[in-house]
Amino acid sequence: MAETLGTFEQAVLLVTLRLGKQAYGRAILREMGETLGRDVAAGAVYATLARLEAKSYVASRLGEGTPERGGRARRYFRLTASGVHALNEAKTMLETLWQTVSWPVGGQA
Amino acid sequence: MRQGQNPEPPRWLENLLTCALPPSRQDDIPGDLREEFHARSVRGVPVNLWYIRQVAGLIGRQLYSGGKMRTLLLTCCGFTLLACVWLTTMESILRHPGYPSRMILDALLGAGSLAIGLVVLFLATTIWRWLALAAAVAAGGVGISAIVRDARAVHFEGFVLLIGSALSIQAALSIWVLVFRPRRERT
Repeated sequence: MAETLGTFEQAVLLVTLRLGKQAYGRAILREMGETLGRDVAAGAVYATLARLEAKSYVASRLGEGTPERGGRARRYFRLTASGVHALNEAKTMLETLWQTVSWPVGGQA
Repeated sequence: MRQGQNPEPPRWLENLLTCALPPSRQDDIPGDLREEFHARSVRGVPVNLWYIRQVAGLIGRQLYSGGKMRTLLLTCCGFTLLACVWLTTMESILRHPGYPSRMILDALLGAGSLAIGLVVLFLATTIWRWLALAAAVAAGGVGISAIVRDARAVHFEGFVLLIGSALSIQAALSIWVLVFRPRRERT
């Protein structure tokens, strides 16, 4: 069984998956902000990407730079087979958990 | 930022960020932030504060990203730096016989602690790492000899034991962080 993914990790993986070949640092950062509806700290996204890469859930490669970047290279990310498996497992687990209660959740108080 | 020019983030801040990042990320992360800075500037969104926040956040994370040993070393450096400032100040006030040479030694130890902290935070180059390591080992030697002298003296001074121990621990942590950790990162 893959290691349990946190909500932010799942969001980063899903955004990376959705962006496909255009998934580089800044694009992921922008898409995360738009998806979550708030300004996302760059540090949080890069730290999560580094953690996911250490777990082999994503892989990265360096691409070309552009004048807006001062010629600095872009780092493109893609999901690995383990990353896809972990995402699927996380969704299955959440769905299994939610099946045990009726939606919307009613309070006891 | 002047009008009519390609909007760019403050150069010194970008350099600071580059220095704080691990070598493998020194190109793409500042590049991403520069690209976003450019896009936000074109849209007319206030951008300098946003950039400062991102850089501060990234540097803050770097402080803790190196693991407990690195954080412990930085804490140790902060403590020994403050201790050396205190010792130098006390020597200059009390002026016991032989105080000038002790003041110089305290100031050197303090400068060493500051240098080790800065190298651990910002300078990843080999030459600076080895210089910081040399300073840490020398300070550790001073710490151990101070402890030995204190133990043999008629009047035991607790603060000497405390600061001497801190300098010795700082040397051990420096060896771990500056020598062994970079080797592990390379593999």
